[in-house]
Amino acid sequence: MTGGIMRPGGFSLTDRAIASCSFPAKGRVLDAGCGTGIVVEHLRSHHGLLACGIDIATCASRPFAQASVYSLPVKTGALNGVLCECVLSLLPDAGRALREFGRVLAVDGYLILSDLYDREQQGCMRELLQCCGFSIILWEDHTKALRELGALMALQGLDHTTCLETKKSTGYYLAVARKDTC
Amino acid sequence: MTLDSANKAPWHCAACGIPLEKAKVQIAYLGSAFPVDLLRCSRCGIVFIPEELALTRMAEAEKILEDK
Repeated sequence: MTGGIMRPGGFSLTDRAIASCSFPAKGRVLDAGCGTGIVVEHLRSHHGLLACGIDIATCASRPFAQASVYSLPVKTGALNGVLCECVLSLLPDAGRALREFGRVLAVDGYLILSDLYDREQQGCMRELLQCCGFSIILWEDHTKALRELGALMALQGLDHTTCLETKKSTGYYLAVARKDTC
Repeated sequence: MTLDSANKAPWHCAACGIPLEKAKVQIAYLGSAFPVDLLRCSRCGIVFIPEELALTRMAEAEKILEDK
C-alpha cells in the first residue's frame, strides 16, 4: 500500500511533489536522509533525475554518501533539488538543516519536504522556511495518508504509536519551496 | 482461539461446503482500503474474519481512521 516504503503516502507524495517542480532533464537532486535508498532509485528510474542520497547511517544503495544533513558533502549551489522526507521532524535543529539545504541548492532550486507537523501550529513551519530563504509554492495537508499508514500498521499488528504519536493535532504535510534569489 | 490458530483452522464455507483458502482481501473503511490476509471461499467469495482480529487490530485501525 505504501509502495515499499514505510512512510505516509509512499511514492505518491514524492511523485506529486516532483510533478510540481520544473526540474531540467537529468536534474541533480539529493535525498537527504535517504535510508535504504529506495527513493533515490525511484527518482532515477521513474523521473530520470540524477539523484543521490545521504544518510547518517550506511546505505547499500548507490550513489550514496554517509554524511550529516548539517554538513552536506556538496558544493554550494550545485543542486537543482533537495528532498527531505520524514526526516526534518527527527532533527534537533531543523533550521540549521534548512539553511544547509539552501546552501547546496542553486537559485530557484526546489526543496521538497514531507513530515509530521502540529496542525495547530502549521504557521511555524512556513515561517521557518521563509526565514531560511525559501518561498513556498506548494503546501498540502496529507494527514489522511498518515492515518492510513497507522491503520495499516495496526492491522498488521505493528506498533503504530511512533508513527502517529499521541497528540491529536499531529498531521502530515507536503511542501515544495523554492530557494529565493537573495 | 488465537488469531494464528483461527487462520490455520480447517474452516469450510457453510454454503459451498469447500475449505476456505488464504487470500489477500481488501478491507475498506471511511474511504481507505487495506490488503489483509484472510480466509475466503474461492467459490462464493465469503470472507472469514476471526473475532480476535475484529476486536483488536481492526478496532484499532478503525479508531485511527476515525481520528480518535
